[in-house]
Amino acid sequence: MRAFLGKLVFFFRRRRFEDDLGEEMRLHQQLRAEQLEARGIAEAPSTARRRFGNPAALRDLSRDVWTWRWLEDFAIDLRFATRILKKKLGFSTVAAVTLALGIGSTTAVFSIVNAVLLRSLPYRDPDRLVAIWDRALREKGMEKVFAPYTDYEEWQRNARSFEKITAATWAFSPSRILAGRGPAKQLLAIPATGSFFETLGARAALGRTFTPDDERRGCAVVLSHGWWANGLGADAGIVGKSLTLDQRECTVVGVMPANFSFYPAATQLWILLGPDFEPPRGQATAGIFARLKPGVTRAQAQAEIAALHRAAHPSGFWHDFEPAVYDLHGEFTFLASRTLRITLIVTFAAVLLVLLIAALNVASLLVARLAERQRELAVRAALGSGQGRLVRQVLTESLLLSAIGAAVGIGLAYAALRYFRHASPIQLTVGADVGIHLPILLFAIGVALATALLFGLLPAIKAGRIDVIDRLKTGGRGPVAGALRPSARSVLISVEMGVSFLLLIGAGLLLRSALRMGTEPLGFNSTNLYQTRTSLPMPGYREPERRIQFYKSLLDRLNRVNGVSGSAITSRIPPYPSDGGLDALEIQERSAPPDQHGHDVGLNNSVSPRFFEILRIPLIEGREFLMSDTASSLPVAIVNEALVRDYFPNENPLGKQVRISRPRNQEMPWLTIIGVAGDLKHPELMNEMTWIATPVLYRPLYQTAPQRIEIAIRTSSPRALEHEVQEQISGLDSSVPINGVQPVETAISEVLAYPRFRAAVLGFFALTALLLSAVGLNGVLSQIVAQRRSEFGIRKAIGAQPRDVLWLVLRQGGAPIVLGMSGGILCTFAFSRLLSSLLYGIKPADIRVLLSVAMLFVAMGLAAIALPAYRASRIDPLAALRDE
Amino acid sequence: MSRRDQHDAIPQGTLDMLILQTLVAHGRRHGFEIANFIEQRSGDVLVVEEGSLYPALQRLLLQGWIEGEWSRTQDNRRARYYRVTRAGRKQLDAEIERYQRVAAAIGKILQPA
Repeated sequence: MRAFLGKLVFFFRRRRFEDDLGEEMRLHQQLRAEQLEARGIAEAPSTARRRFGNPAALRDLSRDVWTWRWLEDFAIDLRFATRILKKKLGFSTVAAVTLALGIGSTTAVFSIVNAVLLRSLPYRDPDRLVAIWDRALREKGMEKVFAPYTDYEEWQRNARSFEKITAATWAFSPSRILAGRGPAKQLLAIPATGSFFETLGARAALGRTFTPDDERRGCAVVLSHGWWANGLGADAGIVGKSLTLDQRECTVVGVMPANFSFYPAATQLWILLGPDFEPPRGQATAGIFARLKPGVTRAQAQAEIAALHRAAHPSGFWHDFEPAVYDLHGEFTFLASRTLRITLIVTFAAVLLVLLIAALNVASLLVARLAERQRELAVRAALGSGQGRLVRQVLTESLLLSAIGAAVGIGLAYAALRYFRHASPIQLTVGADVGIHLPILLFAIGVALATALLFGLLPAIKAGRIDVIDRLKTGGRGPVAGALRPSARSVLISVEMGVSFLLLIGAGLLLRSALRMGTEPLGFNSTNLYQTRTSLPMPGYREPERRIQFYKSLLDRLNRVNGVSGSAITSRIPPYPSDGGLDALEIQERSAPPDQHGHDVGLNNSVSPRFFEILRIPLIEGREFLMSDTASSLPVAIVNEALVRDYFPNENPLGKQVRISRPRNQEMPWLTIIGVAGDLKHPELMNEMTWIATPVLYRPLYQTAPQRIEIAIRTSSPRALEHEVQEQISGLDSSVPINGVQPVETAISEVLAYPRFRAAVLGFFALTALLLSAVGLNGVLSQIVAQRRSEFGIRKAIGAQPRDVLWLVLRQGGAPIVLGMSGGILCTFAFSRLLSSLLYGIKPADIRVLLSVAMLFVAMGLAAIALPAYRASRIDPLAALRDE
Repeated sequence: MSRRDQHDAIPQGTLDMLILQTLVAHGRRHGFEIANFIEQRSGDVLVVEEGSLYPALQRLLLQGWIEGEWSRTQDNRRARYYRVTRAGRKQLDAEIERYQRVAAAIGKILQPA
């Protein structure tokens, strides 16, 4: 310890040390000389010097006492490596940029993987938190649905596996209308039970969270930090104040901290499930979340509540379901996107392959450089550098390169993640914190070290094995003895080529999927189409007549706005998801509804007159809804072609009578079909890579008069549209909430966000990989040409034509391309299985993708071969032979 | 490599012990004086390279067994004087004890049975 401190102090007093030591040694020799002279010995000074020994070596030895020898060596190696890298600036730049790309991309992707898949949720003891969904036992596509609220009550009373249990819901797009603070606003208010925050182990930043007592008292709300800060001006005295929500006075009991979030991320406040949101009992309403007791496994909990479920539902609708217990982290990932997990896995796999290529590339570059430096290495070995010392020297160079690559790479990753957060191309898990944190930095450093070993060890070992005599004899020319022969380097390049080809295929498949999905006709025209939504507040709009009056006046006003060519009101503007609802269709004078068509929420959509005209949905037969289709006239319906295909395969549907049958068998009116509209394409919630045409039943807005509406506006001047629309709504009735106005194209882009993100990211990685391996191929070929210069010279001297030599190099370079492509195609079959769930409209073995990728690949390969081949063909036989 | 070889040729421990012993016996001394004392006692140790005294002094300084201080000689020349510390004395005792143990052990082997 003392020695350690001494060494540390020495570091700063080196100069003084040298001076003192020098003076001391001089004095010694001087005194010795004087002593010898006094004894009458001739040439006293030189004798004194001889007796003293070599002062320089002794000074070194003395200094060594105070320093860490290995550190000094490392510093020397580092200085030397820096000099070497500076001398070959071109090589160093290529290598460092390659590594920076590899390490940077890997770090960036890892940061996302870490935030989404590895880091636990920001709740207390998150490993014990579970989500409980219901799963249909028979029906497909109903793997995860909300449970009936009664089940929550049942588990809460009788289940013993849970320490705490809560329910929350976002079914029926819950919202509350805020009045009294500026224009009325519609807020995303998530109903949750009083035990919600306690189950998660979350505390409020201001005030408190819900307590079970709140369920018995009046209306209480907890605010999200985001809405409190942006919507309420971060009012520090908000707790205890009152907010008017849906005409009710609600007390703010608390504000959550900024780092608290739950699904859905956009939640503005939480209200109480029970007192403030009466769940339709028995319907699929409740997301049930619970904290397992310590030591209880998910399987045990699952078995317990499955038994309770069977006992609670001896028959009836829910009899065909069973509850399933999932870990909350996995479900949050699932809720963010069905393909988030697989997207991250594929992306991470891809980026590791890029990193591998980068490392192989630098390895082959380094080996090539080593071949050029053989003379230097041989001289150093001859002068007494041990093998270990040489290996360390070469490894130091690799480490330095890797460190530069890592530094630049971390910068790149930082920039990429900043952009990612800013552009937010895909929705991540709520609360996922993407950035460069300490663990990410450590990861990057680890990757850099691993990479340095991967690409540095091989050349380093070769450097250690150098045969001194042989090297010095041949003047450092010829292949590295016992090192990678060109053929071995070709293997490296072949591997690189194969991996790039694989990545290109993957990227090609994803790109084509994204393109096909993006260009799929959706059955309506979204250009210049804008949308907003609102909800007519109770009790003012309890009477359907008042709601209808509002729609009519609003449409009148909107149609007069400058540039608007038409507007329509509907319960949902496409592309709305087909989420597997529970409605079924009955047909007059036919027996029970055919079971296989029993469930689809898309069945019911209320639309105003001119809806089909304004959205440009073709009307195949019959007529549109008219102003005259009102509550007092004949109840009518328009169906789409998918519904006709399913229910009236060989009949004319016009004039037929149908009705929606509800599980509870509320009496619904019989509707007369008056028209057939074209199909719309809907995204499917459980399978994101589809557009499906589901049966839809349209009803006239003036007969159904829904409370929540969406407004579609077609306009040629979108600039001031939002302001205009909001003004028209508020002008009509200031108690009606206003919302943002967005292009329908934006909603479509959201559906396409994941496919596009995947295509872009994988495309970027694949092109990077291709570029890197092309650079690698070019490097190896150039070196081969340089080494075989005399051979090519002789060939030409004995009559070979330039094109013969060209052909030789082409063959040499073509081999890795062909090998890589064949290997790549073989691996593709395994790889594309992984991708199959991410494809749209194509098979993993899509011939067009394969062909275009192969063409790109060959073109890039030829470009890499061209220059060295040309140089080889231009070798002057005389010059080449003279050099030998 | 060659440096290290030389370095190993001088029996480090012995030299260190001789320096300590010298300083214990004669008190504060500078390098040349130490060299002279050692030479008188056991001429062979330093005969190869007198200068190897200096790396040895640095070793002892690093360990904290001796202390150095610049001062003036009798004829008013600047010299660094070394003094043994308490830790140095302890070290010397331990070394001597160890040396005697080893010497005793060797003696036993050499004793005819």
